[in-house]
This record gives sequence, structure tokens and C-alpha cells, in this order.
Amino acid sequence: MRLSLHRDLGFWRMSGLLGIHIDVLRQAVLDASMTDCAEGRARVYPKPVSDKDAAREAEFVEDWKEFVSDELENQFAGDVGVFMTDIDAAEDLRDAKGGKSPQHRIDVPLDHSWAWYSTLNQARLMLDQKFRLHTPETAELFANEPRQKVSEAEAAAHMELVMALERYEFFSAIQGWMVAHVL
Amino acid sequence: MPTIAPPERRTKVLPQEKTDSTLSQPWQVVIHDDPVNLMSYVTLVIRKIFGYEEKEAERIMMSVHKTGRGIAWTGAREKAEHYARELQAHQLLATIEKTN
Repeated sequence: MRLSLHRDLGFWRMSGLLGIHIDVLRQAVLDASMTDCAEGRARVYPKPVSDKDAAREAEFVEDWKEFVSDELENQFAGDVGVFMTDIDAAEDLRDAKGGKSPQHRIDVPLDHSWAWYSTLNQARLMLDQKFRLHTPETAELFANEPRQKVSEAEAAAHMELVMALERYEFFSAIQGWMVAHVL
Repeated sequence: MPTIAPPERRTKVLPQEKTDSTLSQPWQVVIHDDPVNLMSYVTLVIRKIFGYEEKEAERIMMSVHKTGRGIAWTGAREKAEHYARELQAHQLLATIEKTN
């Protein structure tokens, strides 16, 4: 059975999940973390005015940071909490189906949908910042044939980038479905 | 018939009042392009926050996508701040600025 998503009455369901899917979804929480990523933080909590107006609006920018950004930080952390709760409640269908590979199912209440979208979006925003996914250099990396001789460190860095891009695309696919069906 | 000279007209030039015309100038809410947010999501959020019809929301989203920015709303500053906060709460890049 392959991974599928469908909307039901009062909830939506992810079924046909393998253990690795659950692991990748859990990884979204770590990806969304802004520790040690100032650029990511600046993207998720942007200033309310453009850079050219920031000096003239310094007091407003400061108030925004104190009152709005801090409030949004709490809201986004709460979203991640809701997401985690639903992942933790994933049903393991191994016994029921008796299949070879363990299958899981997650039922997400409809009123958790925005929290899910927010968490996956935080993860993608941060992945984009941490791994510079949309820079010409990264595009070039994927466009060119891999060099035959690379150091172990280079190979590891490349693999980390590939995994980041795969998570980014996986989260994006779920989000695209969510916009069409549950938000 | 004697002619009567018309009264001399005098106009008094009053000192111009110093007003900051920028205070009454409207503000606009600007959504900026980013490579992460899905186009369908941006359209959805614009509809949700401003209550626009799908076509208008799509027009703004396409402006963001093609030109790098789109003006979602124009009016009083306080309300513009409220809308910017709502957009940021949906993780869109949004700022406010005075209209030109």
C-alpha cells in the first residue's frame, strides 16, 4: 500500500505510512528549529517595514519585535506542539494487517490543519535558509554530474543536502494537498 | 456722473500652516515574494485575510510572483499594521509602507 491522504468527516488521514515517513515527519520539528540560524529567524519573524524604512521607523520596529514577533513565536511553537501530538498518536497497523513492512496511519483533526501547515512551513523555510536551497550554487550542484573523486566530507555534505531537499519536497507535497483539500 | 473708484483690494498672505501631509497619506500592505511559500497557499491566505474573491487574490499573488511584490491593501496605518501581522502569522513576507 502506498502513502495516501484523504479527507474524512472532521479529520483527514495519512495512511500507508512506513516507519521512515514517520521519522521524516518527526524530523520536521528539528528542521523548524531556529537555533543557530539568524537568517532563518529573520525570515520567519521579519521586520514590518522594508530595510530602507527601518531606520526612520526604529521605534515601531522595536515594538513589533517585542509584541508581535514574540507572540508569533509562541503561536508557531504551539503549532509544532499540536503537530507532535498527532505524530505521537500515529497508529501502528503492523498487527492488524500482518504485512511485512510496518504500516502507520495518522488521523489529523481538521482543526489541527493550520498547525500542521505552519509546522511544515517553518521546517521548509528553515531548510531553505540552512541549506540555501534556492541559490544558483545549489542548483548548479544538482545540475552537474557528480565529480568522480570527492572527499568523504564533501560526499557527506552532499548527502545531507540531498536529504534536506527530499524532506523539503515531501513536506511541500503534503502542503499542496492540504491547500486543495483541508485548509 | 462721478465715477467711484473701486475699493482697493488687499489680500493678506497668511503664513502657511506647517502640516505634515505624510500623516494623512495612506499606507499599503506589501507582500514580498519568497521561494518557499506555495502559490496556492499565498492565494488562499490573501482570500482568508482580506476577504477578496479568488480572481483578485490570484492577481495579487501573481504580482508577487512576477514582480517580487504585490500590494494587497491600502488605507489607514493602524489597519495596515493589523494586516501585516496577520500575513506574518501565516508566514508570508509582509511589510507596510507609505503610498507614493
